[in-house]
Amino acid sequence: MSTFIQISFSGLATGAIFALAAVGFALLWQTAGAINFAHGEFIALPAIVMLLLGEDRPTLGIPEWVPGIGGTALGGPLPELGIVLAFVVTIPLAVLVLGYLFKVSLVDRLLTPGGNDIPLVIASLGLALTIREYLRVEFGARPEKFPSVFGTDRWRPGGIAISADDVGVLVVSILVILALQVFLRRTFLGRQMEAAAQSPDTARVLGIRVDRMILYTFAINAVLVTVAALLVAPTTHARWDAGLSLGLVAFTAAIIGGFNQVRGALFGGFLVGLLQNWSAYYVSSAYREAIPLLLLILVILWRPQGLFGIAEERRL
Amino acid sequence: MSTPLSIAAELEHRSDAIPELDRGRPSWPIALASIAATTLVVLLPIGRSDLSGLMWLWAMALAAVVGLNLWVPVESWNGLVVKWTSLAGAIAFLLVFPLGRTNATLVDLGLFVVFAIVCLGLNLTHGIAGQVSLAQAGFLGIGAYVSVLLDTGRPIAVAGIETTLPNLPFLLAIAVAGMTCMVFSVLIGFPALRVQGPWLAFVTLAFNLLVFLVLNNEAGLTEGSRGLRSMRTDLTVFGIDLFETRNYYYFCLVFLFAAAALVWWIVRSPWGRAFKALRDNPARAASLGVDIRAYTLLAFSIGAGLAGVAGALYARLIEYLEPRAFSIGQSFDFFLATVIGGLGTMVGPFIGVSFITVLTDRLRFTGDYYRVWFGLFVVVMTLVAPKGIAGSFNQLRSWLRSLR
Repeated sequence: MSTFIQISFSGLATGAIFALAAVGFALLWQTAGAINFAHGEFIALPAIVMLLLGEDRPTLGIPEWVPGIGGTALGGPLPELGIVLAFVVTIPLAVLVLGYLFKVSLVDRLLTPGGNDIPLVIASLGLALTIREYLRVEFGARPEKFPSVFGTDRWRPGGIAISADDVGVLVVSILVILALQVFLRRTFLGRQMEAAAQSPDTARVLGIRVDRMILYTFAINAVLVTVAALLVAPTTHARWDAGLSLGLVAFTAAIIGGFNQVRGALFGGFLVGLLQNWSAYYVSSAYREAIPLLLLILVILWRPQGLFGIAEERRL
Repeated sequence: MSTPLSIAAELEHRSDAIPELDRGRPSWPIALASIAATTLVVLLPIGRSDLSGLMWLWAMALAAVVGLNLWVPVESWNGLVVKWTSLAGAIAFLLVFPLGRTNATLVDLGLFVVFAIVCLGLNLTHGIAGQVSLAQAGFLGIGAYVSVLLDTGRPIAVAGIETTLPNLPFLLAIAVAGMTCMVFSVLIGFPALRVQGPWLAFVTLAFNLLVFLVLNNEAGLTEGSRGLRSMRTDLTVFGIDLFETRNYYYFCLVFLFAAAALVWWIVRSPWGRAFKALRDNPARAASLGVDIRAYTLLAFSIGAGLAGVAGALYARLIEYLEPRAFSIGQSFDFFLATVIGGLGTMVGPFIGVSFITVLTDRLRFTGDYYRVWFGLFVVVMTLVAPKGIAGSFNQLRSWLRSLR
């Protein structure tokens, strides 16, 4: 029993990060109709940027054009402080590049109202390839250790091993998602964003600046991926190809939970995290990724709106 | 080489609607120029590993061929001459270029041929029928492993059962590989094609990853990440020794020509027109009596079957199989290559596939950044030329016509 609790707990912690990633993915889909196949790379990139800004890593190949900003310039002697500060610096960078620039340069040009969403799928696959290969060439193919902001403590209450990282990840992700949910549900701006997502035309008639709301969604997504990067990188390490599996997990979680619901993506994330951990222990660790994929296929086939989603009317 | 989906081809089909086609008069200078330029393009590189001094001549001849295809109206007699000369030139090039090459170059070229079959299949699925499939590398892998497991007579142990694998003739193994992929594609496609567009992309992507996991983990069957040897030793077909790399290249080329002919025929058949109707306006196609699900399934499974055949050829070309070659990254490459080449055109897959095979070595000046530039190129293309290279070529041709 204690093994089960332990596995479930670390599964919840992993699931919390997946939920963060999935919520961002679902938000873009819901609000802007944008399917971003580079979502995983949007998490892998900030992780490496944070490591670059926060720590002095002689092993990490740093592009020549990056000015000398090692651990000493921004962080202190403590690596933890370095990473936290680097995180604070990375957030506006991410909002600018992964939020604003991504929206204006690609999404706005490729997504026409009532149009086909495949061009954006193609462009985001190309973008993912560019980011992935750039990271490989510039920073090297070796995975880099990424420090956990919550330290490396471990406790064993009642025979259950719990790490500080798992607890911290779980608490922070839940707080972030709660804050997001409160923002969307309770604040005026959040309600406007919801309205713009659910019915852009009506929202426009009511005087809501829909384009502005969509832009905010991209900004929120950029913050979410950066938080996800900070939380996930201690487990996955900062790797050039981390985006492939992260992106896959994000949309698996989003689809399983329900694409058109933030709540759905949240549950989807936790479900995928739990399923992965359970199947790794009870079935086979080699197939830990397979079970969520099978569920994904089943969900798409029998309940395309997701387990927690609400069916939309089919439009032609 | 011109694209059969061009205006002329379209017009041929609607000849009932268009009373008379003015083909103009054939002109000898244009025909001769076309034949001369094409011949130069084909013959110059024979036996030369480095064109150096002759590079400018070759480039000019190639530019002349492209220019003629661009300028001469396609439906005129001259246009037909230029088009068929170019096509014959392209076939001749594939036939004679390998003469006097090293085995390494032949394997490179073979990879182009094999992957071109994969992208031809994808072009049918996506370019003609409008279904996004991201499982093409998965089908390539299924085809590769199935064919190798069927014709080696190796002992295996899976799930506690020990048995000896059959030892089928190579041609039969190739056929079975293609069929297996078609069966898998129907199994996954029959329910999945209820959902379309990006959803199919997700399902196929998940399927590709599942295939990868099975190939990687069922080591009793596939040797897992250690890799499976698939040597061509003693491989003969109709008395031809396929161990010889050049013979094997031509063997693959036969399949490429057959695949291209198949796709060309399908596009022109009533099936092809139903596919296009489906792609352009599913609701209208359905109302006109096109059984949407049957046709999408058909397009999807033919694309998968071609990938399976290509997989069987790939296995013996590389002589070594490892699951990594069939990862989702490879599927993305096939997808992007097909899109870059030009969806829905015959030439597109060939252009696209050269970006992920032969050109990766030729464009050495980009160094490690080759794939970074390829990714950026894809992004820029979706913005400025969403129809791909071949599609943009056709647009450019129509634009030039409108000037006259």
